[in-house]
Amino acid sequence: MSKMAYISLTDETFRIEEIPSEQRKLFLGGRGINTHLLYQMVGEETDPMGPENVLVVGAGMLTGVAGIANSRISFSAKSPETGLLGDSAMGGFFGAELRYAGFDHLVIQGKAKKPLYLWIHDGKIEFYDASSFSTLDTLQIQTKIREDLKDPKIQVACIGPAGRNLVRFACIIHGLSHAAGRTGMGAVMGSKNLWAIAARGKSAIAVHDPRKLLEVVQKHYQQVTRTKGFLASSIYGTMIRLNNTRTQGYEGGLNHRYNMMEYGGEELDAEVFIERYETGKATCFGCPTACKHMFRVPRGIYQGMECEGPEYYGCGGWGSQCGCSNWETILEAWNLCAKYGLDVGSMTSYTAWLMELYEKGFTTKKETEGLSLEWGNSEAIIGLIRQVVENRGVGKLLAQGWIEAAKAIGKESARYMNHVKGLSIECDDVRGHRAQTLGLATASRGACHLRSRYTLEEFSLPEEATRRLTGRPVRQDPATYEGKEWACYWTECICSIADALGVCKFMTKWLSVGLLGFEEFIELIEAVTGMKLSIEEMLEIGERIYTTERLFLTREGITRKDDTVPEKFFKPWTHGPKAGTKIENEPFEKLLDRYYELHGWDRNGIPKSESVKKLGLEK
Amino acid sequence: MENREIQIRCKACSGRFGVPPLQTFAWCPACHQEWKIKWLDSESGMIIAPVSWKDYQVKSRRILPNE
Ligand code: SF4
Ligand SMILES: [Zn+2]
Repeated sequence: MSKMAYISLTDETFRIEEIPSEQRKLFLGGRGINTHLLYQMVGEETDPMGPENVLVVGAGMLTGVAGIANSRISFSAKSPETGLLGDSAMGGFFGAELRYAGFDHLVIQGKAKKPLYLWIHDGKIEFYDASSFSTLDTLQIQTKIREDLKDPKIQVACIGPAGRNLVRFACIIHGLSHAAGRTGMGAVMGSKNLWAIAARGKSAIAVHDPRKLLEVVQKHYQQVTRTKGFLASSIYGTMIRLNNTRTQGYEGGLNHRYNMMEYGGEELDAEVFIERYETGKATCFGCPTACKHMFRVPRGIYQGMECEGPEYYGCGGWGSQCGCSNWETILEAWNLCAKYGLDVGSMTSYTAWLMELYEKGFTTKKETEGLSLEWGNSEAIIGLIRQVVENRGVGKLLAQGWIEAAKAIGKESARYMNHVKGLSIECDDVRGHRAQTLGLATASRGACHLRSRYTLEEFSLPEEATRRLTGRPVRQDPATYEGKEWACYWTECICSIADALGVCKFMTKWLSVGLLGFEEFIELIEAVTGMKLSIEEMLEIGERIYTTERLFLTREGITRKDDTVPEKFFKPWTHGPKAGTKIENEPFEKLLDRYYELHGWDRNGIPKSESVKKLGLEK
Repeated sequence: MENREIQIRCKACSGRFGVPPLQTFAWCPACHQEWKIKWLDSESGMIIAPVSWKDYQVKSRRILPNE
């Protein structure tokens, strides 16, 4: 039976419970069960950095069994960065190991009296002193735990200096750079004096029909490894998006002022990175893709620096968004964020924001302690990361999150931050893709591409293909509003289900048509648990997870007024093949109406009581 | 000799055009953009970059006022 542990850090005690089968049926696992528990356990009065916040850690329902890219584990809490729903997932091997150690979910409450880490093994949970980690980075902490416990196979998720210093956008790191990045889950760990979770176990995960599972996985393996999506990911990883967004004119530039930069293409090209810096590939549990790059800087001031990464959002975030076309600056910035445990999504967009404020005279060298925050300045990019973690200069303000920083800087500085519901928008610019814009405006953790970005909109797929794929035809033209509510809804469902199962979205139809989708999930769920689900039931579970998240937001006061994108996105794209494209207010509002209707939410974006009841979500 | 072509979508104009397998450069017949093609295998080609980023970025230079 799968188990969850309720852990009190205050008392250093825990109790173990079985996961009720009803919860499994309604929410599957991972983000699904996390969201359900979080909604029940925190409220609008909960201080995200207070002991009353709850950190729910949840491996996906398929994480760690035979499968494809079923590596993921979600961390959920009230977000210290946005004050709203916090949730972030990581790949790697930690999720699988936690399940082998005997637990699918951990519900972590209270605050430890002194820094500690959890040592979870063979169905047991122990509380170990972590004071000796106080000068270590994320990689050193993982090495130390393995050495101290004399087991090189221990998997660790930990915070670094950023989380220890309560930086509001601190993340949780595992391995070299697997990160539960967005919404500040590392700050929640820091606020609880929980510096790491280490797991090791040998227990097998119960599988309903092992023979069937192997058959299904073999079939899926044959299916996915032939697709273009798989082949491209296995060479370029997410970095291919650097080339794609630039050629098609939707890379965000200079804090989303431009949709395409006028320089830097020769340098910031995925092929250049591979040729010059890549030393190998890395992967996550069960994944044949190995989309992660290992790199080494062969010369220059960072000579010898090695890490895993960088992902697209770091390259575009410090690249076009901050006007930097120096690979080595980007690689060092990535490496520092991984070692310090800082969310790259926020760090990049905060840097671009501050650079715009500096240009406009909101901040000067006085506040920045001498850093010249000019576009593209490598010293500023690196210096700002250090200032945030060392709690000095303008970094001291940023460490409190951009909302507090904007209050301190004042003078309408908040207007220049591109965010949705408090979470900063990452580098690419979605305004020409209507389903994607809707997804960004409504994403349940704030601006996010991993919850509701209808990626397939970029491929201009024929309607017949989208009908087969999503169950309804979706118009080929990315600039059409008509029917895009369904594309967004379908994406929300497939993303919620992937997160609940623990399957990496890069191996699902979220990214490419031939990869895993509802039909494949149904086969896997049946083989692993014996549960027989239909596509309609899968959509209903996706809807249930999403509506629970919406209920969380509703309780915090989120309504239709918050389901929008920044002013800049209502202005036309200035460059590239689709110059002139912008979001138009009226069709966008009508699209939002249709989207709410599809969900069974009222015109203000609040779930109607009959929809809540239909999903079994009434308290 | 087989005279096969693989369809590729142009990233400038979104039109589809045929490219012989493993050919590493191609012109879009509709918008005349010249692209570098990456072959993932002999059936799967994709545009990886314009032949010259510089020319492409200059050509795409701001055509509308911003802000
Ligand atoms: S596709 Fe990449 S990120 Fe996803 S599981 Fe595979 S290696 Fe990990
Ligand atoms: Zn063309």
